[in-house]
Amino acid sequence: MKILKPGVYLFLALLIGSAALLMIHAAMQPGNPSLDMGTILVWTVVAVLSESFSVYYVNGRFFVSPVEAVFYAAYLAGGPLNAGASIFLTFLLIITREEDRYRHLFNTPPRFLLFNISHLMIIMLVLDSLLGLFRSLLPSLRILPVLAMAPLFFTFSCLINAVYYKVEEGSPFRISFKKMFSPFYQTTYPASLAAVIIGYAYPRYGLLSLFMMLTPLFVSLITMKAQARNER
Amino acid sequence: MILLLILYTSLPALLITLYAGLEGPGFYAGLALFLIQGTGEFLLIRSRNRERLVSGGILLFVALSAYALYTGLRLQEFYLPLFIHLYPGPVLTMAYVVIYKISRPRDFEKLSPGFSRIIILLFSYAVLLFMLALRQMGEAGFPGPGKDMFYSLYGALNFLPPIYFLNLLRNNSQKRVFLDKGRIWLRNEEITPLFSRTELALLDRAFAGDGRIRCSDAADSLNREEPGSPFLCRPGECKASLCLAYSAIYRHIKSLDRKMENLGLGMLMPPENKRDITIEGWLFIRDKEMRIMKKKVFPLRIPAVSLPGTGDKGAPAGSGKRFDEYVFSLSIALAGSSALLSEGFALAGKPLSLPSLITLTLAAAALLLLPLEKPKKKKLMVLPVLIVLLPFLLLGSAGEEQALTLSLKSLVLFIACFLSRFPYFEEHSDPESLRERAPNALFWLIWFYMIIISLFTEPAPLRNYPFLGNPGLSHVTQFSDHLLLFLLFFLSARFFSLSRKPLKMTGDAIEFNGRTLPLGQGKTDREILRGFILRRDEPYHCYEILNIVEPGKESCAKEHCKPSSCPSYQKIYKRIRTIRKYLQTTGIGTIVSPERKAASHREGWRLILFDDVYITDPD
Repeated sequence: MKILKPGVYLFLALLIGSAALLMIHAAMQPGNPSLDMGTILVWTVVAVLSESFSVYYVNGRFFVSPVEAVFYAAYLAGGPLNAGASIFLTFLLIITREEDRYRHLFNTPPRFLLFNISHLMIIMLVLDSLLGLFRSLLPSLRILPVLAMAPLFFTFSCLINAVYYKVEEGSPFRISFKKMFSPFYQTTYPASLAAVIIGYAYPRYGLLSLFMMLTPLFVSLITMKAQARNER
Repeated sequence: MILLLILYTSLPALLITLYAGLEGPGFYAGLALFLIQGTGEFLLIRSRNRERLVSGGILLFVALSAYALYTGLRLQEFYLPLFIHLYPGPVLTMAYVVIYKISRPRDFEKLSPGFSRIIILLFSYAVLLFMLALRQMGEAGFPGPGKDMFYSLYGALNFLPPIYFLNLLRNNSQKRVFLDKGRIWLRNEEITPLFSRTELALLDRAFAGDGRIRCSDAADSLNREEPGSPFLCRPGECKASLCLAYSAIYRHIKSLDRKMENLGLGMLMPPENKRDITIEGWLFIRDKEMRIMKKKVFPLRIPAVSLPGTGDKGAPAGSGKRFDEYVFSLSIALAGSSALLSEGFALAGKPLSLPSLITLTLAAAALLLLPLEKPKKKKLMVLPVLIVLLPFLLLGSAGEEQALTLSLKSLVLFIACFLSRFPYFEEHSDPESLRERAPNALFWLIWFYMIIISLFTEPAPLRNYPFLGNPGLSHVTQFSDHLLLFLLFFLSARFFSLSRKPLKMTGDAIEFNGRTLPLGQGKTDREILRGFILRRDEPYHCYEILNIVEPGKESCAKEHCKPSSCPSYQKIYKRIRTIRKYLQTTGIGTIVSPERKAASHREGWRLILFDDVYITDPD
């Protein structure tokens, strides 16, 4: 077993603690939709598909996929609790291919699993709070703030990942962030905007809207794959 | 195939004719439309001249639209389903066929991602429409209202033929090889003349079976080519160094190898131990992107190089082409801005009167097209940003959703104008890098537009057509939305098909793609290049070039000289090499030497143009 620096444990504890506290806070909010198994299952399937076909970026040694867009759509369609449950289940079920071997729940180091789940939950709940703030300040605007927040999911995810690389491996923060962000933001940003449309269409069109999500996810993945190949 | 295509694309008119019954105005209107369209399309497909084809296509589209509008105002029952449900697929199919006919399959894999994304979009649009129709049917209760449901389902399935033709267009830009009875096609262009008969036979061997070419295969084909001096080959019993035929075979193999590498098809690898060459032979290692096809794809094409006698003499470098393109862009800008303005003001609760609508439409169209006239002036690009931001002025009165939708529509309209003007300012910009970077951006734009107009606009039949009085305005904007989406599909495919570039001589200057070539090498090189262009496919011999390099020198023995003993040959050869490099880097073409360099004085050099370049008649 790899021995990690104490800073890594501290950072992970901070992330997991914050995610747990924020989730409890969200669960206690009266306005949030309650857990719905159908919604959780549906979004988990889409997220698992998206993350399982994620692209392994050799230069940065990380996986990249438009999964943030799926979680944002899940959040818009089912609220923070359902999206949180979907994030949790997704990372238990994914099977990714890393060069010549497969990675799954049983051969992935637990710290990666915990990091992924907790940091995505935190981002989602921070965005939820920001949206709440916007709504209280500008009640007439419903969609514009949601659209403006959409790209932040991927940006924040890159930022937290870069911090983690800094803590665990000592890699310079700016370089790690650039490696994760620059090649892929042109794909993940529009995918997040697409998630807004799907999130709004879901209550009305149900499973049909999920089918619509498949096209942007598929194209995002092939674009990312081409991008990763070019950068190699 | 052509008849089937014409029948399919004219089918909506025929369906409506049958639906209207055997009597009444609808029947005659449909029949007339069917005949006009069928004849027009037949003439278009038979046309071998690119410019005539494009102009004819635009003319037919305008004529049909005018006819439909006239008939539609009188016979709404006839017009409405025709243009909303039945026509988009066939018209798109015909548009893609025209693009397929005139596109140049050069530059290869770069264009392929663009076409793939449009195919994905079209396919998902067809499935989306189909699922929406099923959902609508489910809500209405099965079997549902028959006529509307039939239109919806037919409308969805109608997008499959354009997908097929777009797929052909994509295949065109991929390395697909088809070999049949001693003839070979690459990217749907016949390249048989590039190879000798022996090389073609070897190529056949390389593509078939285990991909190995053995001496015995080569000897067989050499024997067929030169029956007087048969080479006897006993595999396993001979030695290459003692074989009379081996040097001839080796020469053919090397030549074939060079050609295949140049074409990007692959390479011929000798065995590691060269003594095994007679047993193992050369292994053909195919390029990973090359695919061998079992049958030739759709053969409807205009020849790649402007051949004498085909009537395809290239674009008249004058105002005609630009006029067509300008009218096309102007119609998009006018129609789009008119629909957007009407929608915007109606949403704000202030419907426009006809004179105000016309004035504002003209102003908006000018705003849309102005920045595209001189794309280098970046300051003018502020205008499209303003066009996109303007709808936010309606935030208060029309609401957030409507302002956002209008803003997206404005952006789509601007992109449609940009794509329609693209061939005009292609010569000012770097079209290849733009085509390479564009697929992703275009995909997202079309996807957003496609989803928003399909999901968030209530489906409604087009009633109360006189839209200037405004009762049926939403239906008109719905119609314009679908028209704009259709145009985006068409214009994107056109954008990813390469246009052709003219090479022209005007006085002393040589113009390529509208620009005078800055030939830095001086007068002599320019004269030699002029000679090549004037000869087109004919060879240019060294004694002819010598007259330019060393005028007045009579020392060339024409037929009976040897390049190795000629004092001027090196000078000529260096000039040719410089010009060849220049032609290749500017994207015009290349100069090919004879296979045996010793015969260059007899066989001469030839100018081979890249397949998107054509020579216009010299002044």
